[in-house]
Amino acid sequence: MSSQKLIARCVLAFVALDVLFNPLVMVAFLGLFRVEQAHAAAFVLPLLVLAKVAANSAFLSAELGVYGRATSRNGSPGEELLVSADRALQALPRRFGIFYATSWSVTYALAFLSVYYFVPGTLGPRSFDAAGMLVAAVWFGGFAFGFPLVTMLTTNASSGLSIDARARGIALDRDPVGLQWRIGVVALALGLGPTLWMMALGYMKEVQAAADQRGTLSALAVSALAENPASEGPAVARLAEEFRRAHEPLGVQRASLVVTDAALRPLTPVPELDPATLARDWLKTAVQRGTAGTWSPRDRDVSVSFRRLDAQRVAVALVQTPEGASSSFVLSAGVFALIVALWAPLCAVILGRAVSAPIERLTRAAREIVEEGKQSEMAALPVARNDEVGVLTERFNDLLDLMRDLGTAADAIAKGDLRVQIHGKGELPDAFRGMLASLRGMVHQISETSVELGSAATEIFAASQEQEAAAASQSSAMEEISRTMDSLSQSAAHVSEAVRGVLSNAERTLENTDAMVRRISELSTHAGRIAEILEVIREIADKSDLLALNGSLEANRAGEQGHGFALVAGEMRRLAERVTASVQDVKRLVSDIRESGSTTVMATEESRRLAQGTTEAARQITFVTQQQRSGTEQVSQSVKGIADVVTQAVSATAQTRTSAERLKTQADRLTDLVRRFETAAERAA
Amino acid sequence: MPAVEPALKFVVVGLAPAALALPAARVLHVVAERDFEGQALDLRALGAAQADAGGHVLLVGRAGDPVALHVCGGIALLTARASEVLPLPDVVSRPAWLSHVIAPRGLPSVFVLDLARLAASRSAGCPWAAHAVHPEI
Repeated sequence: MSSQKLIARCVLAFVALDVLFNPLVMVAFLGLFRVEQAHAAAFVLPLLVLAKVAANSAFLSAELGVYGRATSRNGSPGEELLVSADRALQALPRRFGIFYATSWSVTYALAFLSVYYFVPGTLGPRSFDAAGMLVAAVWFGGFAFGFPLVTMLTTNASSGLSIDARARGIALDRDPVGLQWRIGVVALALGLGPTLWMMALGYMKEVQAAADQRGTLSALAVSALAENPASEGPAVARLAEEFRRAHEPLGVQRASLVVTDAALRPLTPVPELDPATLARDWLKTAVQRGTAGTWSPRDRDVSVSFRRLDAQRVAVALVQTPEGASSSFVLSAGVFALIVALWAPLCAVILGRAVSAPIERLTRAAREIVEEGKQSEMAALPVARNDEVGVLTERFNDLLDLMRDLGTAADAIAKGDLRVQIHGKGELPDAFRGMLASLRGMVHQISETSVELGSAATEIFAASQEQEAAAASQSSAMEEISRTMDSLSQSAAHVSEAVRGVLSNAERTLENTDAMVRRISELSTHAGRIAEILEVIREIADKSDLLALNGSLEANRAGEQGHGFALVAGEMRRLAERVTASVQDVKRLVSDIRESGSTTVMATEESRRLAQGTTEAARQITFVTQQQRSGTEQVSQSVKGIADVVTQAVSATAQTRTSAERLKTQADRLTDLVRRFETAAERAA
Repeated sequence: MPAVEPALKFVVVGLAPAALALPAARVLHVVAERDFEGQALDLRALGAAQADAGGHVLLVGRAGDPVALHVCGGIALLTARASEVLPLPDVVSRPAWLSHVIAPRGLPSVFVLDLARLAASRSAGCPWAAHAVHPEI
């Protein structure tokens, strides 16, 4: 239920209540206080009632605000908001009952004050007493209406919240208040409200009766004065005293008699308490209007009566009696109110207890069943009367019998007896019968399955044994391979070491070859220098030859004188030719040396290439050996891994074999277990 | 005492039978071709018997106005008796610009260049062209 709808329902309900009862209370109020000029009150009272209705509506809206937030359309409320809304709903009857009752009291207190101020002279001190009782009466009456009505109006909303909270697993924070106490409070309000109202009414009647009696006595006094008219003061005074003594049992405390003229001037001695002076205003009007009259206000202790004796004289009498209600009335009314205040809630509590006690027994039994599961040991609950609670108790006992039967059947099923019969109608017996049928089918299937499981476990056991043997053999082979791979790895390490030696030698050979190439290059350079020097020598020899030739030619031209020079030139020329020949020989030798050097360089280059090839080959061998070694180690690791896996496989296979054994054992136990369930078919078989 | 037969000296360039002889008396000077600069008649085709022999320039004729002959091959002095130097007939010597043939023991082996004609004609009409010879740097 939405909060606006709930607020509207509550407001409408209490507006209807106010519309229904306020006029009645208003009429009763005006009648109680005899407000004759009611037009002023009739103007003020509806306004007060409207203000009361507005205040009640505002209070309801404020109190149900948290419920409105909890039930708004913005998704599911939080746990805290839900608990707060429920707490507000639970407290609303008490809080609104107090507020509603107070609104009644305030309204009629203000109404009384407005009459007091707007209609002067109507209300006196005794009216204040009655007004106090009336305010208390409407407070209790308002509470007696407000509390149960709000409880009824918020029942659906509280139920909805409890269902929502239960569905969401939220524990609501509700105070455990006994039903009889609620009934007792309402009964107290119901008892005290009318009682106080009647007390106010009786009080006012009592006051009015006293005033009327006082008026009657004053009329009697003035009659006595009229029958014994005396003009002398002592006679009047004696008459007044005799009247007081004669009527003292009626409460007359004082009697004053006086005879006046038409203008109310005294013709006889003025008594101590002069009625003509006390009620002069009333007397002036009353004497003008009639020949006799009595003035007896409720809130005064005196009454004044007059009788016109003749055209010139007026007899006036005053009687003074105690004002207000009699003490006996006040005492008896107070005792009655006290009895009502005690007896009404006591009776209500007793009556509520008579209702709530069986409900409490039901609640306790339900709690024991739910929390302790003691339905089998629980005796049937007593049924005192054939009312609703009695019917509820009877149905609870039926439910208990059904649960007991189902529990007995469940015990038999638990002990393996599937032949039990489930009696009764309804969803629960049907569900038990369905469960029993399913259980019979499952037992049958489990029985067949356990046999198959045992057979399969036996096969698994045999297969796992074979697999374990094969895995063990495989593990040995893997260990052998692992050892071989370790040996290969060590051999590769040795080869790698040897190749490192070869590589070192080849590198040293390469360095020596490079040094040899450098030396041969230097030798070739030196040979080149020798060739250059030889060329210079040859040129010198050529020039010497030419010089000798030209010398010979000159000597020839000189004839005999040049003969000796010709001989020298010829020798010189031969020497030059020999030098040239020697130079040619040396050049050939140098050329041979250079050719040899070139050949050696070529050979050395070849050797260097070979050495480089050897170095490269050694490096490649080293690299390949390292790769081989790494590969061998990896293979060895892999083989070890495989060996570990095989070992694990052996272990797993052993575990599988063990598991198969256990499975076989479990299957046998399951078969034995299933045999415990005796089905009707087996029994029939 | 028998009469002494006169001997003639020749400058021989190259080796027989491609050798070429020049009367030594007419050869003024022998210069290595790398030391000569100037115009010379190219006779290297006549005496190029020795492949490795260097070239020479022979200055012949008059001292103030020599004719340069560029030859190739080894240069030697040859002394021959007068009887061994035989004059060539005109039909041979004329077109070849040769004057004699040296024939030791009667065997002709070296032809003698006709330097007289060469000097007289100043090389005009000779079969050897003149070319510039540059000294080596």
